Amino acid sequence: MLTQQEQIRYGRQIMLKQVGEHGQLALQNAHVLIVGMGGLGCPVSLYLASAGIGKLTLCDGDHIEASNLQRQILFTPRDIGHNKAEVAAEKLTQQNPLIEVEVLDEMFNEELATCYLPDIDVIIDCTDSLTARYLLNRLSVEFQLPLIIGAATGFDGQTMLIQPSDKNACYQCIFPETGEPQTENCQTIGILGPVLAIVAGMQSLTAIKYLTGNQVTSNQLMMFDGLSQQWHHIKLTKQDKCTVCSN
Amino acid sequence: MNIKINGEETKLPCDKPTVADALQWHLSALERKQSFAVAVNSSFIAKDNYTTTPLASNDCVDIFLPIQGG
Repeated sequence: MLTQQEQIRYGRQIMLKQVGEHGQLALQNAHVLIVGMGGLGCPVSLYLASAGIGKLTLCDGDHIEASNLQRQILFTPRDIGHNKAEVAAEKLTQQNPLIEVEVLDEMFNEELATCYLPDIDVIIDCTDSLTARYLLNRLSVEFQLPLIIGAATGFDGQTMLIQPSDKNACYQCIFPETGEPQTENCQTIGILGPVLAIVAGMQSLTAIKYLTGNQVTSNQLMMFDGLSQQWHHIKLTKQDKCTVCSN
Repeated sequence: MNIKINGEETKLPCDKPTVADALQWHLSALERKQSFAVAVNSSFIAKDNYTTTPLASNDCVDIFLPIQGG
C-alpha cells in the first residue's frame, strides 16, 4: 500500500497503466546494483532513485576528478577527491529520502558478488572496462540475474539486456574474450555527455520496465550513433559453444 | 560482388564471397585478432559460421567492436 506522500511523489508514473500502484510497489520492493558511478552510473542512479527503486547499491572505488565533471552530472567541484559512490549516495538521498542507498566504495569483485548478489534483483553495468563487464556477465549467468549493459565512447553507445536462460545470449556469446587488450576508451578517444545520457536513459528504462513486469527484449544489441542520431538493432542468438552460458 | 560494409559500398573481388572473405578484405590481421562481432542484414553471425555464411549482392555487413567506456 502506497502512502499519500508516495502517491503524490510518484503520481505521474503511477498514472501509466503499464506501471500503476502495483508497478510502483514492485519498484519500491526492488534492489538494484549499479556497478560504476561515472558517466553512465550518475544518470542511471538519478533516474532509478527518482522513480523510487526501494534500494540502490552503488559500487565504485574511484575518486572524483576535475576531468569527470563534464559528464558525471551528480558531481561538483567541491566533490573532487571524494569517492564517487559515497558522494552519489549523498546526493541521491537528498533527491529521494524515501529510498535506501547503500555504498560499496571499492571495485566490484567476486568476493563482493558472493556477499551481495543473492539480494539483488537487477545488475546495471555502468563500468568503463571490458574486464569488469566480462566479470559481471559471468556473475549474471552464475547467479541467474538480469544484467543491463551500457557503454559509450565518442559519439557511439551500446546497450543490451542479458536475461540468463537456455534461449538467451550473453555478452560472451557476442564478443568472446580474446585476451587482446582493447585500448580505446573515454580517456583515449573522448566522450560527449549527452551520448552517455541516451545510453543511461535506455538502461534505466529497461530496468523500470523489467521491474514493473513489462515486456523487455533479450537477444538484441542496441547501438547508438550520435552523429546520425540513429539506433541500430542487431538480432542476437545464443551460442551453443559459449564458454560462459552454455553447458 | 557489391556489398556494404559498415555502410560503405564495397566491391569484393570474388563471385561467391562469404563473411570470412568480407572480413579478410576489410580488417587488418591485427584487427581480426581483437574482439569484434559481425551482423549481416542486422542478424548476428557467430564466429564459427564466418566461412560458411554466403553473402549476396547488396547485403549489409556490420562489423562492430565492444565499446569500453562509461
